[in-house]
Amino acid sequence: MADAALRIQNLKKWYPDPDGGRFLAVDLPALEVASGESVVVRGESGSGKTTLLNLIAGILPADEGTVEIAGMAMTGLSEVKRDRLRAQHIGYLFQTFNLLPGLTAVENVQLGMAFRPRRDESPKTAAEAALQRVGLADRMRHRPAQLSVGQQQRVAIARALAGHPSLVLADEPTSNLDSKRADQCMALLTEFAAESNAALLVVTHDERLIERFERCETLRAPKHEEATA
Amino acid sequence: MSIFKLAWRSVKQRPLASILTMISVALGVALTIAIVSLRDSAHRSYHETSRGYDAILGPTHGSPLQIVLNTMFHVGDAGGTLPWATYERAKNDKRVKYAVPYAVGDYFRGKPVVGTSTAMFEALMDPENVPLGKNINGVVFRDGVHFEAVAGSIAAAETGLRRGVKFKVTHGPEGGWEHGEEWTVVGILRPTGTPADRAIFIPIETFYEVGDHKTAGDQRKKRREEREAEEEREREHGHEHGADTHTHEDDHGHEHGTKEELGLSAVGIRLKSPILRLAYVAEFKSDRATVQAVMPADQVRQLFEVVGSVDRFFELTAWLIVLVAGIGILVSLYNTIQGRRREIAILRAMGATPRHVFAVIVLESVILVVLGGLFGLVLGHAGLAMSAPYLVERFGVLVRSGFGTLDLQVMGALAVFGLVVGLLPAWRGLRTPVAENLHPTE
Ligand SMILES: Nc1ncnc2c1ncn2[C@@H]1O[C@H](COP(=O)(O)OP(=O)(O)OP(=O)(O)O)[C@@H](O)[C@H]1O
Ligand SMILES: [Mg+2]
Repeated sequence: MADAALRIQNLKKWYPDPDGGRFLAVDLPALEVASGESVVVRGESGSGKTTLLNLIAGILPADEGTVEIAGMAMTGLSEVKRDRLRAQHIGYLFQTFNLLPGLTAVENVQLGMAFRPRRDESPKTAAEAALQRVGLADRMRHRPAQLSVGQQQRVAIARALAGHPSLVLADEPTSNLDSKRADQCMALLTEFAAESNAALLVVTHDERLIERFERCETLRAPKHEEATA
Repeated sequence: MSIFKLAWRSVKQRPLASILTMISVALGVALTIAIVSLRDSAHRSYHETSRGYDAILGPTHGSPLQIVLNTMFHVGDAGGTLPWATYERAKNDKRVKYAVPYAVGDYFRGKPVVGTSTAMFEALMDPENVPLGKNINGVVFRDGVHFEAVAGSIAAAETGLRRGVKFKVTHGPEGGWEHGEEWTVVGILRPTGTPADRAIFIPIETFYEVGDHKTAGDQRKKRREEREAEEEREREHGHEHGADTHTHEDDHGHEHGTKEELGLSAVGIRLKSPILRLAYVAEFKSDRATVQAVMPADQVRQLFEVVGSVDRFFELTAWLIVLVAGIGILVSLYNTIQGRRREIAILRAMGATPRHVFAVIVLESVILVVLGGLFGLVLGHAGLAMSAPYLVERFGVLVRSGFGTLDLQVMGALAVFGLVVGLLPAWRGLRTPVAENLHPTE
């Protein structure tokens, strides 16, 4: 499968432990997500879900194994090159939205495309189209503080998808929402991703979400390793 | 969302801190602009004016600088008198193109009233080298006993003199008694940017016609006659008289009218060629002379050698204020970075490279310094414009406070300075770890 949006092999990430040992937070032998496909990764709290997404996005460097985004290796790149690859190909939806409070909705969405090395469409037009798509056409000039939590979530979705990334990463996208809104949010996310033929990778511990996806992977429990003196 | 827009939003996010730091830069820049403009204006004004005469003949009592300031800038007092014959002699000297007599001491509403001759209006020029007499609404007064006057532009505006208006003068700048005679304004000089703007000119002959001056002359004559009688007696007793008695030797062979008794304050000399200057001045260098010849250009240059170190000190102080303001921005910006870790992490998660983050923060610093600087320029020029009348009045210095290359240079320097100031906060910002700051912590 040459056109996999995401391909992971033998990915490992350790964190140092206070006692001098180390902690294997992510240990993922293989994972592939094709363009247009949605996959959910399930794991308990502390099982390394956020760490995994940060590895895929190139925010954290991997210790072992490889991550490929749209055929390009993320692992092994310098920090700056990882930033560029992320800017070009990845949309990231955070558990806590992470909108910038000083920017309006449309500016926050534009921000998602601001650092792309290559641009084929005006970020402003794309941002407005994306906000329209998530039903916030009348909230473009509002700041995050002037939006409801559900609306903030939709701005975050618009930001992750406006630039038509190859891969969308979503970290517990529903943990701040009640079940009705969680349903709406997931529907919007999966539909929007499918429309732009993006691969969607959602990590969660929420069992309710899992039914929505054809594919579900489960993370291994992290392992503590003694200090080897 | 450009880098610039991000930086600008960030500046707007902290309005109080931003405004305070900008004000501190503005004050420093305003001071710098004011000091530098003042200094340059003073230099230019004094140097330009000093070119009007090749030499000034003044009393040996006065200091050379005092003579120049009083004659050319209408500041201070004359410091003594010269025999009238000095003027007659200078006027008849073949090397002299213009000999301009000056008699001072009277004022109209605080503006100096200067007794002189029409030669002054030919000898002195404005910065564009147009003689003052060609730059007049109306006419120049006539030489001789005609109670006519020409007013400088500022003097006219501030005293309310217009053509055809009659006025009396007072003795001394403030609180002096009023003389009985009345002059009529026949001409108003157009603004020239020279000290002539601040003065009122009358024919020197009318100065001597003033009743009180005549009385003073008579008294002086009487005193001198008494002193001469005294000295006569001393000589008879074999006493040597001191080197500083000097009033009587030039007057012989003239009729003893008022102008001979009162003498004059100074004579401005313009030679037919500046080459003659040194030789001409040297002739007055005898230690028993009543008269000294002073080169205005020399005096002004010496003045600025002294004043120069002082105003360099002021300029340095002003730049120090800018420097301190810059350090203020540095500290303030540096401290915000701690609170902006999440914001920075979000930018990075959106694909911003460390260089982008660095650029945003440096740009914030540049925006603060440059905006503060612009504000300072406006403040500085406004301050200069507002104090200009006072400065002209008090120091005879016409401040040219228009925006110019100095401002461009200052802004250029400030942009670089802002960049330097932003380096340390930006360096701290670019080292912000991303993953651990992507969620709300404290
Ligand atoms: N910077 C770090 N240094 C050391 N240990 C860390 C660091 N970040 C995370 N960990 C540890 O790694 C493990 C995985 O963390 P991670 O945030 O990936 O979990 P998670 O699956 O996202 O949990 P949750 O569902 O609660 O968000 C946790 O046990 C955490 O304590
Ligand atoms: Mg997590």
